[in-house]
Amino acid sequence: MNQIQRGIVRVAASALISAAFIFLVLRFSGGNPGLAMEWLLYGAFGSITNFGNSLTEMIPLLLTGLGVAIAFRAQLWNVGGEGQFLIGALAIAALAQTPLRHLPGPVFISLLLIAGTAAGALWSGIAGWMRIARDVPEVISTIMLNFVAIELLSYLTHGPLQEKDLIEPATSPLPSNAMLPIIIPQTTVHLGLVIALAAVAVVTVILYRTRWGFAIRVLGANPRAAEINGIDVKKTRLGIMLASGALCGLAGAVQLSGSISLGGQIFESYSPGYGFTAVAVALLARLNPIGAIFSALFFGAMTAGAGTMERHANVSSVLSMVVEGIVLIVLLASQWVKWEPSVKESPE
Amino acid sequence: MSSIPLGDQAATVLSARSISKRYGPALALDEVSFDLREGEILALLGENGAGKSTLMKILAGLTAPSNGEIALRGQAVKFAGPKDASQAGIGMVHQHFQLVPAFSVLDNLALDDSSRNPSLIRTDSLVARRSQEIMDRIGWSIPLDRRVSDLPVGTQQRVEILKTLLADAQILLFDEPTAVLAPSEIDGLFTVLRSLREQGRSIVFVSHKLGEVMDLCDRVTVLRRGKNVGTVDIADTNTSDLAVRMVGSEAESVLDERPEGAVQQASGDIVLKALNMSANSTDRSVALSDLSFDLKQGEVLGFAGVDGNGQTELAELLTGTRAWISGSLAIHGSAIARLRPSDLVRYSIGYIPPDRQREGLALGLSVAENLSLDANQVPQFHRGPFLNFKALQTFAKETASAFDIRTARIDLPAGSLSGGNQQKIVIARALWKKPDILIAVSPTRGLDVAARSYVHQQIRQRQSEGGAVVLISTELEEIFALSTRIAVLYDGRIIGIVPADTSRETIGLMMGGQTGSGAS
Repeated sequence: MNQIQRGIVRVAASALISAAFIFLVLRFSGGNPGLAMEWLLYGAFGSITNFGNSLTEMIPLLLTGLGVAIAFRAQLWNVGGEGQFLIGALAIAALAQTPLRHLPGPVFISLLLIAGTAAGALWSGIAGWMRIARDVPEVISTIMLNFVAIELLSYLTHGPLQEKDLIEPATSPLPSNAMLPIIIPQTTVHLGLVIALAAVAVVTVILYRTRWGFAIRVLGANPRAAEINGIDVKKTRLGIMLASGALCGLAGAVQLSGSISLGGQIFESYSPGYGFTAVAVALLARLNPIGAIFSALFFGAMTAGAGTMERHANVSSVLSMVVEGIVLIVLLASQWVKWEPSVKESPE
Repeated sequence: MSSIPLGDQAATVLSARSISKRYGPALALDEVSFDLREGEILALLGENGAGKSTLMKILAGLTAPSNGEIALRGQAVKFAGPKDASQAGIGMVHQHFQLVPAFSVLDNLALDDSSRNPSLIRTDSLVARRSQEIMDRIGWSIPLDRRVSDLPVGTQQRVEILKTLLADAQILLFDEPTAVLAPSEIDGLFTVLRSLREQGRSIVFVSHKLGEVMDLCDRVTVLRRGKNVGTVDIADTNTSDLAVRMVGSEAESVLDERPEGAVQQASGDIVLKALNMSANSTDRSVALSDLSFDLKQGEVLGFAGVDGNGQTELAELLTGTRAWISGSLAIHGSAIARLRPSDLVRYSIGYIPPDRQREGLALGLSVAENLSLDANQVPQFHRGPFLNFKALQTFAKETASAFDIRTARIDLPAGSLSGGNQQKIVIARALWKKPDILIAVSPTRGLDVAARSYVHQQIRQRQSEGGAVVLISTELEEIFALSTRIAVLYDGRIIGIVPADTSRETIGLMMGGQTGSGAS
């Protein structure tokens, strides 16, 4: 069998196995599996509005997924996307309360997005700096910084950044000139989609056409070979951590200024774990920036469809997360199946 | 070519019968059969990639054959894992030792023993007593309480052998056991192997070194590209006959000999001058002290020495990954305060690192990308922050053909190539710029005869074009084949620099740390 045939077999097998598991889960949770799947698909793709919801859900996943992918590419395990996302959002919520809010919309929004990006980069930069200066594993530092960010958010929404009426533990809504415009009528799809797709293009060009991207890929493939071929490993690692956090921070900013349902406010449980799902998005895309479009859309569609499924098929939307998990594990497992022989079994 | 007829003697202890092993599309072993007799040392000779290691892994139960079977004393057996092979009396001494370096010798022996004699309570004293008995019989004295990492490589190998003897293995498989040893240790190993043979044990000795096979073995089975091309008695053959069998008909042209008149004193300018250079040791590395040498245009300065006497550290020093704490380094007459890997292109230094998989290549990247891993340093490969993609593609195509790198496409991952072709990538990257200085470290490690010859030819060519070469190698053959002068490293120092026609005995003594007459 050639590579393409094996690919088809793998995807088909994955789909069948996933479907079987999903059927069982839905069955035992008392629902009607066929009906549930139907509404799930309808909720994700059934109308322009529904598809718009999928795209809207995809935006933060794509940006954070890209951020994670670029770091994983260089064997830097940034699992702090969640924290960087929250810090990005907090930065613009804070900035929106300064006199800068009297600036004209386009200028103000640009400024906010840059600030969110910078804040995310700063947050991951702490972990990056600790890695290169003190050899602190970034897995640990980024996880810990997630907790710091989550608690910081809690503090700020109860204190300095709390909305004026002091009723809800949430930030004041962003002024209307800070909100990203809707780009497809009758949907919630905002300009963030364009920003995210542009980010895919930029990351792709950087990875495959620039000196820095080449350094990232060599570093990811073999750090020692990178070093002896004159790549400054420490500087490159720090740069990658900054870029990774920047993308996650941008995701946080775009989400806050784009998502209508949030009303431009940060609540205590503001992120449903975008920064964590980002790891799944990146892995499912095999760390390929263009692949991330599809894997982010997959997760976005699942989230969007789950609500509809709950309302119409009487199946808890939480089950959509179970479904997501099953599909992800099966797909990832099928990737390892392919990788193993070439890595482990090659003769000397 | 026929092998020994079946049922030749009653004393066949182990037979491989038509064993094939397939890795994806590649056939590593193609219907290989051979018999191992009681009380003999059978050599398994072949180039790298001939399938020797694969065959050993199958016999040791580490991997299953795709086809064919193994028979022990005429009985077909199936090994589900190494445990089965061990229980059947087959012991394997791996090329890379399977020891826990931080454990004591006794801990290692007990660990291995516990896989056969499961017991909740540790049986160290029993293991120690049995080990002592075995050592007394062969006349060894390995300190059982020492940490393995503190022992010399040759002794570590004896610990491995001891493990197999504790398991009372009657059939011993040695996978390239001399690859890691110093010449004096090799003699010691051969004495041990002969005494094991006298005890009636049967030994398979894997090697690609003809001299060792002639010296030690009783019969030899030659593998070529996964096939058994014949088994002969040592009495009926000689080195050149074996070489022909091993590589096929071109053997004569690829036998590695120094070309006539190659030993000459280079009289070119000094391109690199090291003066009293010292470097600290880090982790397990050796400290370098007081290294002084000149490198002239058109010479190959060979650094000989037993592995672990500062070779890696010297290479790191000269290629910018290890800092020196005192002394000075001058390239083309100008002193350099600090050398970084990113300076190598500028100073026209080419580097062939010792381990292509660990350092030389990024196996997951393409052949083309690997040819220009240093692209960020080479001006014509980029414009501003962007890579000059077209130039890189053209370069990769031309270089792949100029250096005879055999690959279906240059965008295939480097990891998909054979070892020899992988090494050609490393060589091409070091040499295409025609560097003034070439630092080559074990450039032919793990390569077959043809690939070795290719690499040596490339190094000689650079030399004849006026390049200066530092050759760091633990293979004395290689040092003698290429060098115009030989420096010997011992314990992080240069114990002497001698002409290339110095006798092997003298070099051998120097490698053992004796200066005396050698340094004259």
